[in-house]
Amino acid sequence: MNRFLPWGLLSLFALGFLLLFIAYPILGVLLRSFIGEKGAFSTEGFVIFLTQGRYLEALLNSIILGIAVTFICTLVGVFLAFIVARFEIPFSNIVFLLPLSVLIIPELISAQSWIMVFGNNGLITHLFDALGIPFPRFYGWFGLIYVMTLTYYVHIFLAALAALRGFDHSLEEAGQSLGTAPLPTYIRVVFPTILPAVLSSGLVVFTLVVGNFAISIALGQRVPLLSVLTYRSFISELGGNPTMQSTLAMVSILLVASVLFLQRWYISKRDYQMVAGRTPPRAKLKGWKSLLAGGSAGLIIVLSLLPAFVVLAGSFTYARGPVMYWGQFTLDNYTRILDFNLGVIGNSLRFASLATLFGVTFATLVSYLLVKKRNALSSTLDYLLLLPLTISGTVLGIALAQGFNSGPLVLTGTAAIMVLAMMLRRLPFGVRNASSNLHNISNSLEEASVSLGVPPGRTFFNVVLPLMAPGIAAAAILTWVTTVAELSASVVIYQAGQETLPIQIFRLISSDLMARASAFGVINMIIILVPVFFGIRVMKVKLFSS
Amino acid sequence: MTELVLGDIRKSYHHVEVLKGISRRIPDGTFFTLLGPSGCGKTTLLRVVAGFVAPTAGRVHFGAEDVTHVAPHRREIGMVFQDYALFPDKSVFENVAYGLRARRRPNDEIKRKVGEYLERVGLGGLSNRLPTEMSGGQRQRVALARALVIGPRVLLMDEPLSNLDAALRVQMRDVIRSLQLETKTTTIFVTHDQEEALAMSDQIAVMKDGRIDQCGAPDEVYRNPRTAYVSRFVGSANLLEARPMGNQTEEVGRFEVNGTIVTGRTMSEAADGRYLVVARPENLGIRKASGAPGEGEVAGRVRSLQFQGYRTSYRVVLCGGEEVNVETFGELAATPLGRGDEVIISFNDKCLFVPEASS
Amino acid sequence: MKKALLNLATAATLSLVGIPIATAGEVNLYTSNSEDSVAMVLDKVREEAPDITINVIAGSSGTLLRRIEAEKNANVADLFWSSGFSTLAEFADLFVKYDSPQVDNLLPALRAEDDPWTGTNTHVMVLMINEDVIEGDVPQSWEDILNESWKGKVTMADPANSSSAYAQLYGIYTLYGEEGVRKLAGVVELQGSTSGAYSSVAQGEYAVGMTMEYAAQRYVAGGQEEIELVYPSDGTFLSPEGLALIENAPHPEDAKRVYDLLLSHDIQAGLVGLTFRRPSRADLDDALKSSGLPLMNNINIVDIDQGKAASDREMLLNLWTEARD
Repeated sequence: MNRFLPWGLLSLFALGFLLLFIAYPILGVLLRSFIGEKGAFSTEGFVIFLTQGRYLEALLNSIILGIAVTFICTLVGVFLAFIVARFEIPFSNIVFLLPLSVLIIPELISAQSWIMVFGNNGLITHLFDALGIPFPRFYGWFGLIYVMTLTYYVHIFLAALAALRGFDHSLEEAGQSLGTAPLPTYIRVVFPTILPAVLSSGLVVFTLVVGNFAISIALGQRVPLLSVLTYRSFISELGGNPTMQSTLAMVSILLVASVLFLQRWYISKRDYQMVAGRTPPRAKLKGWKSLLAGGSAGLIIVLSLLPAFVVLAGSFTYARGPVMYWGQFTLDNYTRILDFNLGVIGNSLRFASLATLFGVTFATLVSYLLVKKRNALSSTLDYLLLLPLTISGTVLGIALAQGFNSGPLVLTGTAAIMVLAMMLRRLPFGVRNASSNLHNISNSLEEASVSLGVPPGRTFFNVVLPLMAPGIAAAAILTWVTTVAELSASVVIYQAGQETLPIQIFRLISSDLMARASAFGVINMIIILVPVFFGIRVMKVKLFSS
Repeated sequence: MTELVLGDIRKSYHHVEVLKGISRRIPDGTFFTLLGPSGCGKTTLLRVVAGFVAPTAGRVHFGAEDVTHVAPHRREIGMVFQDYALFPDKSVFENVAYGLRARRRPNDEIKRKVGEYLERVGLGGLSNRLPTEMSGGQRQRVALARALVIGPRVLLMDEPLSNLDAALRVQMRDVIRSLQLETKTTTIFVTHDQEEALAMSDQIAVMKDGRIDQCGAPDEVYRNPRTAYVSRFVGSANLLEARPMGNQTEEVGRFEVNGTIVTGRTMSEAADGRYLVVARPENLGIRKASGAPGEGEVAGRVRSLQFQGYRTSYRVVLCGGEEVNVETFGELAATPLGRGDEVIISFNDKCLFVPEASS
Repeated sequence: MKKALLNLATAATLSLVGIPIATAGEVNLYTSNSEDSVAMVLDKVREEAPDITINVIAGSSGTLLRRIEAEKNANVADLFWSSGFSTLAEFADLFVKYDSPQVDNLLPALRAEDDPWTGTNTHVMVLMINEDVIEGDVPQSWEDILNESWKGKVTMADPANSSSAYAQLYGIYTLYGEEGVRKLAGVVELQGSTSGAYSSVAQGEYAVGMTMEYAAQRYVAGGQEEIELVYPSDGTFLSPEGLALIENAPHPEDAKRVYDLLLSHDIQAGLVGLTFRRPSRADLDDALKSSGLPLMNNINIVDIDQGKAASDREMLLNLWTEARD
């Protein structure tokens, strides 16, 4: 049996890694939420949570926000997908940039740009002021729902578009031939069948909203939200209460976990095996219908891509302190970065490249072990890999910081914990990307190589790795993109001198220094964009295959 | 120069025994075929020889060397797979060169040998192609060259022809067999196709339920199947109930079949005394009925026939209701009987008797 | 291949340990001040003490102090600049007393002669008014906004999270006692963070914000005309900030020279123009005037015992929480 030992050892290593850096910290959060100030078992944290109004209010707000944003995202996403799938509209080529916009415009920058448009000193706000019309307050429910909708509807759009494209047109024709007009047909035949895809992406949106940190903290000053409260409990200038931190973290884990559970249950309940049929033809619209459909789709698309341009313009705009002078251009915001903040760019590059390197290496190894070398440990590995999906970045940050601030392995305050947090957040997706090609690689390929005298380890590098390469490249690019934009976990655990671009942007937004934040935002987007562009154009990586 | 010795190989998965003690000595240079239906254990046995499956018990020897615990990559084997298993990102040349590179052979030797073997399988000039640009037959030739170029001690082939269409299959039989003869490589060939087995092998082992039922040269297995199972699996056979007349321990047996007395060899003794007669279609005579059938003869009626010139096959319903296949050749075949004709079927002395129950 | 991976891993591990290596003629400055302030200081130091190179580690004061604490056994930091006196007090054992010759030029309240730090500047608590939103008269004192008629129109940061908000709360407590605290609790709306208080007034969400002078003045100086600063007539509170020499600093002598420079006339004058943070020196009236800030003499200041403010914290916050329920 010794020839199987290396894989067994590697499985054991992977398991150990996940137990140490995912299971142990999260378990720690769970346990600490039941430990009172005196170190004994107590439900004090939960009692406070349930009795002090502001915690329950925050939980309720988070749920309401999640439902509202998911609902509006579904309307917008399905509507746009329907238009794009069924009609020829003028912007149809730009539509395919949409999924990219989600990647290259981090949530934080999207929040920032909308503040620059609608917020205090905002472009539109000033315009309304000049016209003498008071502009409604953007901060609070309106801003939160608006920005989150524009940030997250793309998830539902993509799922709905895929479902609509795969939808067998003959079903629809069958419905029509039985005497229903096209619109009722849609409602009765088409929408129920794309519902599973839309609902499961809707649940993803819900978890993203509930766990969201960047937009929540930038726009939700008057609306207490669970994620922001969790963050503040940890980062409080004057020292926080560990029980309360853990309790809040625990509540948000439970919230997301129950939603994920709901999703799995729902998907297991109904399994539409859609026959990949004829893709329905795209109809031409005429007159006002064309204007309406094209116009509204165009508006959604423009609004989605606008943040990038606003931030770009803002970065070249002259500002005195918090006040921006739109129309007066300057390079000051950039020269300041060159003069003072190269370290921040360096940190971002360093942490993100290490997190990508380690994350992708680990994801590659684990996906290989899980697909090709299944053993007794495999199903435990599967479950551990689901865990990061249930926790928001803030909670992960808190779990790591609390878990490794004492004992034999002290990581709090080190660069390693930053890299670790960034890497762990993306790991489940990395494994999914990396294993995408693996299922198609026949086992006999490896056996052929081994039979020709190449040991199993070298066979992996010679034969399997080159074939996994497209999936690994996609994993690397997506990991890079998300780690460069990562804020919610790193902002909890970073130390002085470890500021990354998003942390710096976050701090500048907090101080209302939008012009300077914009210059960092542009640099952040460039750093994200370059590998994405390179991957798609030069290496022909398919980022959205899964 | 490798003699392959299997010593009481056993393999169990979750307490289910899929190999139940297989012992066999395969002389050097033999083309040895494992023939059997899916699930009989033939592929598992092959993978035990390759080293991909560790046997629960038993030994595998390559010549004098005990390789039971040698890792597959150290066994010096060549392997050809059903799905070709060519490296899709590597050119034909690199596929064939793969094993040589693993052995760190000098570049000029690699170039020479790869070229030579590609010529041998008839693919000279295609060395820069990618596997995806080739037909199934071409791919299997590449796989064959790749396995043989390293000069393996044993060549293992796992249903290599089953993904090819019928015409190519016949053509590839020749390619494989002649290369095997040229290189004198001891070969284990796994197949479920008896025609392939009969056409290519030095020896055939018919496997059933984790055991070798019978092993021998193709003609021997064909002519003298020892069990009903082997007779059915190798070639076609009419199997009819046979009631023993007297003592059956002797070589020559007398049986009552369908109301008449048939004599022939008894292959082995049935514990329960129940026998079947194995009558190959060519061992049955057929003539137009004229009078009552004599000894060793049964009356019947032609239900259908296929005239093929040199040969005519009949399907005949015997008076007892059973059906048999009968084939005639040469002059007899040239003047066929008609459908519905009353005929007399005669058993000749090449008929065999085997126990009805499987071993 | 394996070797290459190993090398890569080693390189990656090494690059994780990015500690600046300090040598003679260098000072490692840990600072929470903005980059442009730091840049000005660096320029000035280059002029006055060309032999000293300053390595800057920038961050928020909380993270910096925690890092200094973590590095206690292998000190990297020489100087910490700057944080509120009450925050410094929590980390007092990280610092060592240095009697700078510049101390004599400082306002008495900022000399901190008994503490291991020295005041560099002070926040002054003000009422930040947004004239576009305010209805009726502009409040002139703390007492004015304690009136119920201001309910829902006044905002401040959460004293539990923000040290400046706590200073405001403690000031109200000093002036108007428990009664004042209860009144404030009934009127004011809280923001999650310090910045929330001033940005929400600038955004016009609230007519009045309790915040720090410099933060409000940035909007005025930036040209947001509707913003006005009110220095309450019943007296306002200072929240001084200081710098400190780190105990067992690797370069104590050079660090002391930078310490002196940070308290010098030129640097302090330059900083107030840049940041509107009121300097600790007593001789900077011209600089204050050109920044648009009133002179210290023209502000009514209530004396606050910072030590007592710190020791009363738990009691006061409990009172506050109770009053708000």
